[in-house]
Amino acid sequence: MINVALPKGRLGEKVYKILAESGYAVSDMEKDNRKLVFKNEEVGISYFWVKPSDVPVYVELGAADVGVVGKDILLEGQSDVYELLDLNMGKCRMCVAAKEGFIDDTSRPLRIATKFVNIAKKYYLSKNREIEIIKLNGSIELAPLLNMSDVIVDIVETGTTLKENNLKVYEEILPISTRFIASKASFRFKEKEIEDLKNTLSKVIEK
Amino acid sequence: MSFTLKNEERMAFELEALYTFNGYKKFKMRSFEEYSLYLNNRDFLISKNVISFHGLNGKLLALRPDVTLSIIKNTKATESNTEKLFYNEKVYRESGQTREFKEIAQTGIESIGKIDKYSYIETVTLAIQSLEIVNKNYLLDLSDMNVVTSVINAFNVKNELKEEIYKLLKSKNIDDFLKIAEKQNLTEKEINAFKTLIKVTGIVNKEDLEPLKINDESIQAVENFIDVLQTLTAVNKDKNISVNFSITGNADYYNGLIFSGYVLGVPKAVLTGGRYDKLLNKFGKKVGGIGFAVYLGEIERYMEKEKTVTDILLLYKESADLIKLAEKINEYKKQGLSVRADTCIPLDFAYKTLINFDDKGEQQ
Repeated sequence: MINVALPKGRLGEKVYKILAESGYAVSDMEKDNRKLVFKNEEVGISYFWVKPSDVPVYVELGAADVGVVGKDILLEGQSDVYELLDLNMGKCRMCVAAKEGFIDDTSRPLRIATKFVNIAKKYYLSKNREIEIIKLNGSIELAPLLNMSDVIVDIVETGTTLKENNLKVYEEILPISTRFIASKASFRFKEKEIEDLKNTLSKVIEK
Repeated sequence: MSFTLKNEERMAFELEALYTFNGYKKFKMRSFEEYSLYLNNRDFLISKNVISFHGLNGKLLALRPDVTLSIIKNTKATESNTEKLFYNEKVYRESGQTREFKEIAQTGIESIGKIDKYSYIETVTLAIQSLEIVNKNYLLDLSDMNVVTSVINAFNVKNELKEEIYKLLKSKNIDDFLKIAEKQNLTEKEINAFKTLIKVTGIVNKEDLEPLKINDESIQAVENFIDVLQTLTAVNKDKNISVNFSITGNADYYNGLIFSGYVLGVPKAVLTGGRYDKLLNKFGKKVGGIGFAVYLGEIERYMEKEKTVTDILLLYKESADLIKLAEKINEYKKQGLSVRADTCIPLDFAYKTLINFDDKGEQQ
């Protein structure tokens, strides 16, 4: 039995659809019920839906053998998992953004509002820039607008949210996409099943 | 009720017997070490934070997060006098998601002095036997720091990028490596070598490792590794030994063979070890060393808990004849039954039979 942690939302549903169409379907997934775990004993697969940022936790602790999660969450959480495949989905960029016309005053620490504290720290460490981190959990764009921070470090997809708030991308840190991850221990005991799932996803992505 | 040892304690005893039987002497740690020992070797530790406190003489001391460093610091081993030690100690480390400090049981062996091919055989065999004590469903992954570093060092890229590439190997992340390879114009030979490092998992033939031979250094490293591997598999036939270059080892401390052991049901490695001459050299000890640790405390969490159930809960009133009560309790104990006497039913207490005791005779 291979246990799959799927992130709640559009991406998780997309990945489930690929797997379901390749023989890994479970019967009652489509029904709107309160079930938390969905199994197909014949095929030997079970799925459960979790908050996207919790996927690596389930995988690291072995409750899930594999999972689907964004690279941003993996980098931020510094999860100890195998990252077997870039699903080339959920593509976006981790960027530094600021108000239109922002100029960095290097004589003072740079105030950064972000959900991604570890990513921001690592990035600015590589630039030897002194910083002050303000951890927020959502609506990060608000911080520079209220002069609570100089810049933000956040995910940018289309850039519409930034534009609507008169913010623009100041620097790009790295590209982000969704990854197929596996527990290091499960990978050794269930290698064939995990490789099969990976190959199934890989074939569809290549098309 | 049978008083069976907790799983963790049973394992510790069996491991201790195994190492003693193989001629290893027990090493008992001092209660506290100086904090500086761990501060100067932070990269060797599993977790970087250490519990420290001021001793009575003003020195900054620490609750040990590790035992190997203490053994190395105190070793009098030489090339002609190998020390073979085992330990069974509690260590204090951050554990779990919320990074709280916990007391964790850890057992391990160290062999310091002249390290030859037989040392590899003995240590790896003991690692396998240790895993078998934990769970019959185990596997031991082998890697080699010389093989890994010789391949990655062959790439013509900056050192920071080499570290990044090593991280990608540890997470088997081939896709991000290919992006770097394209940007850095790595050759097809170099790309294939790295792909091989990632993909090779399990039982290998020497032909499988041919793509790793991309320069003189890696040729030598791979041939040495194959030689060791062939000997180990010949000595340990039908044992679950496999190759996996993604297992972690710090290149500043480990040189040569490293290994990680897994058991079914536990999500992290329960045993890690390797050859650590470099760490010994850091301490100015001109000897070789090889060893491993078994993380009993981490295993215990995943084992089925044996529920302790007392046979009889005997409830008595304050006015009870205490002599008769004591006699009754003794009677039960002579029958081999476990008894708890109380005035009311305690919370979170499992028992088989409830008996109400009064002076006229007990009622069930």
